[in-house]
Amino acid sequence: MFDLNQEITKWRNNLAQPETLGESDIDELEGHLREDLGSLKGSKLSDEEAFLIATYRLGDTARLSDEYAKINRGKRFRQNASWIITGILTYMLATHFDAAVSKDCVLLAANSGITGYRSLGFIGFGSKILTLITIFVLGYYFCRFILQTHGFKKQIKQLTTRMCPLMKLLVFVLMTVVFRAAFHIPVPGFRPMNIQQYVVQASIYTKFLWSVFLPVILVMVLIYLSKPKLHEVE
Amino acid sequence: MAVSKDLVAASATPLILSILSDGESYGYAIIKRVHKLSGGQLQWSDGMLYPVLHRLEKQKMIQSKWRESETGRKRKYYKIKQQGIKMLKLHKSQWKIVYSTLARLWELETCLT
Repeated sequence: MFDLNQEITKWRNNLAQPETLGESDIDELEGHLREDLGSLKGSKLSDEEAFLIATYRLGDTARLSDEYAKINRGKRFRQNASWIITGILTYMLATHFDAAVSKDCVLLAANSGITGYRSLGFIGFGSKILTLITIFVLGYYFCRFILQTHGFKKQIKQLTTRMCPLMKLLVFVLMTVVFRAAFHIPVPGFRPMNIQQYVVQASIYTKFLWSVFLPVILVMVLIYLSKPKLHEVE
Repeated sequence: MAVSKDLVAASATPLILSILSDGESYGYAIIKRVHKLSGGQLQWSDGMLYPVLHRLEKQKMIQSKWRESETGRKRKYYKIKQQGIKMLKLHKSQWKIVYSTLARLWELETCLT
């Protein structure tokens, strides 16, 4: 039995596959398809026949995808760049969080009376590995949950246009980075320093600036890339 | 007789701008209008119209808006902008030059034969 709505969903999924057409583009094409189906059915054709003719008239997926790729090039680049930057920021968050947990575990162990470099080293290493595994597992389930509830395409749209969950993540990254960096800032004293101390101080400041400004710059780029252009606003 | 693909592609922009200069419209209606006006001789692949519309929108010649149609279905309506009207004037003058040149040439041909 031919199910028209099911076939239209399949056709939509097929169009979405090459990722050159946006949700809005596919909605517009579906609107066209349904108008054509309506007029074809008026001329006493069956659902299946009408669907075949209407999809044929719209053109094959590969050609449509090529045509849309030409006009959506900028949009695609912004989408890819957003994903890359999000990846870098997530990696930074994971490593900073991981290092902070490991250090805290070592300090806690030292304060509770555990001594010896070997034992403390083992605690530090173990907690680092455990934190990484936890982040990975939680990240995996978080992504699965998001994809199951909203669907992949919707999630991309949410990330690139509404930015809500991403902004929360970025604020968290920034706070973590700044908070962690703040612990490493050496307070410059008035006592004279020798050249070696100056070099150490400079390297600490560079590290600090790098860990604070890199995420800030990345966030700014991400916001710029995610700002929908006028022609993309529905 | 169907018009060649190259000619169809070249005439797409002036055709769309001309139709939209009569008032706002949507993809399906634009295709139907072209089909009717050309007596079915200008054959557009339906899906190819939309990339052209989007390109024109990107070039700020037209603007679009999603609206509910009388049937309750959502439709994307396109409207010509000032820049589009200017472009249409330019296209008109260019097509007139092509048309008059060919007409003179073919008139000459008819006289000679």
